[in-house]
Order: sequence, then structure tokens, then C-alpha cells
Amino acid sequence: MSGETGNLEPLRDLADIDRLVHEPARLMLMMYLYNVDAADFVFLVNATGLTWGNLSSHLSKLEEAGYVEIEKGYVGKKPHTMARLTDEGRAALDGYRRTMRDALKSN
Amino acid sequence: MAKQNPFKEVEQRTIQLINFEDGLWDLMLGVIFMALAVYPLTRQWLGPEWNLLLFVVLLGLVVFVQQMLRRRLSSPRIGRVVPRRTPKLRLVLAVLVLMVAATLVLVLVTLLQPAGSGGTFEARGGGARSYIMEYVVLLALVVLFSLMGYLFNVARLYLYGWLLGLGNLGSVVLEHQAGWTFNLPLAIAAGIIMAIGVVLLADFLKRYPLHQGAG
Repeated sequence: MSGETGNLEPLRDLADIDRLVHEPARLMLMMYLYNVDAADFVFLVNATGLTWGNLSSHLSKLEEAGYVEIEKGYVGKKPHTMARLTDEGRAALDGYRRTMRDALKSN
Repeated sequence: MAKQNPFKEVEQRTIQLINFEDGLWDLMLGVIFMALAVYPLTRQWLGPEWNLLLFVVLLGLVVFVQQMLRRRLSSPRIGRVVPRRTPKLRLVLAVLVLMVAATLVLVLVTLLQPAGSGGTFEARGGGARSYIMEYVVLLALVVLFSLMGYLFNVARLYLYGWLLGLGNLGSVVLEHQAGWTFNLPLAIAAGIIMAIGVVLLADFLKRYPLHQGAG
């Protein structure tokens, strides 16, 4: 009988959860980027309440992991930076959601 | 109360921040309905053809100014977003555009009598038939704004639907009962929406200062 051990399986999966996504600020950033095609730094600062330094640091980590693409450009004469979730980033967030949902549903 | 899906909340918050936080949308809506409210007066001065032209030009101008202000005033403060064109979003936008167009046509039909009718209620058929039309407009406005309010989680849109719907109905009733050609109830409704827009814009400018340096 698979019984109780079967129910605990999703909880064990938590041990392998993607810790890059699991960090609250990065999770919040990825959730905002998940809903849009791209967003600039100003929007992300306003939406998440992170400081510029924190935002930059978290986005760099996500970029290194291949979860986020950063595009630098100009609007008029001002530098302008857009961030976009990659397919890999979307898959990572989908996987994270699945793992958390299954773990929290299991009892 | 059960919390809704956080992803949906984030999606709604994004839409609120980009479209409704600065009050420019409210101002545009208020100005459009104010123009509809004074339409009978300007028609008396300009005649039906020139008045319609004035309204169309004004409509275009209002949309242009709103977009320009959003680009110059709002975007540098709140940031820029490229929306994700999912099939669901396309469907919602298509339905909303159709509903807005249908509602605008209904409002125009009910407020803009045919040329030469003299603008009287009786000239439009009077009595129960015309009132049925006004109730349809009220229903259309309430449903449209309630749907938008629900989809984007913007509570004031429910109020706007009732304000504009009842303002329109009140204007027709006053025209019928008292012979008023100026749509005062609709003007009051539009004025309230414009005032809300001004307050929101002032609050927006205070809460979101211009960011210096990189965006």
C-alpha cells in the first residue's frame, strides 16, 4: 500500500526546490515579470518596493542563472534598462509553483 | 475571506499600476462624458454636422493628450511595461473594446437625437419605447464598468458605471419632464469622475517622484 508515504512525497520534493527562485525578493520579481513581456527598472522598483541596489543585485543573480534577460538601451538621452523573463525562467517558476502547491496540499 | 491566486493579484496590480494609478484614464473618461453632456448646447450653436465634427475632433484630441501625458508624465515615474499578449489577454481586450464601442454607440444614440428632431424626447418616440432604450444604456454602462472593475480589481469602476448610467437616465428624464436640453445629471457624473481623476493624479505625482539616472 502506498498510503501515508505516498502523501509525503511532495514534501520531500521541497528539499530540491530551486533556491534561487525561493528567495522572497527574487520570487516577487519573477512573479511580476511572469505577467508581462518585459518591464523596466522603474516599474520593478515601484511594484516590488525594493531599493535600486537590491533590485540590481537580485536581477543580476537571475540573469546569471539564465532566468532573466537584461536589455540596456536609451529612452531619449536617458539610459533605460528592460528586464524580461526567459523561457527557462518561466519554466523554473512553473516548477516552483508546482512543487510548493503539491507540498502545501499534501498532509 | 479566501485569498485569491497571488499570480492573479500580481497581474491585476500590474494593470492597476500601469493604467489606473495616475488618474489620467479617469480624467479622459470624465472629459468624454462631459463633452456628451454639453453636446445638446453646442449643437444649438454649431448645428448637427459641425457639432458632430467637433465631438469627433475632441475625442481624438482627448485620447492623444492622455497618451502624451502618460508618456511624458506617468511612464517616467511608474515605469514602462511591455504587456504579454496571451490569448486570454487578447480575448479580454477584444471583448472590452467591443463593449466600449457598443456602449459609446448606445450613449450617442440616446443623447444625440436625429438632426431636425428638435432634441425633444417625444421626437425620439417618447414614452415607454425610449425609456426601454435608456434602461438598456444604463445596463450596458453598469455591466461594462463592473466587468472592468472585476477584471482589473479597480473598485471605483463599479461606481463609474452607476454614475454614468444614472446620469444618462436622469438627463433623459429631466429632458422629458422639464424640457432641459443640457444633460446636467450626466455633467455632474462626469464632473465627479474628473474630480476623482485630478485627486488621483495629484496623489500619483506626490507618491511617485521622478527617478534620476537610469530607468
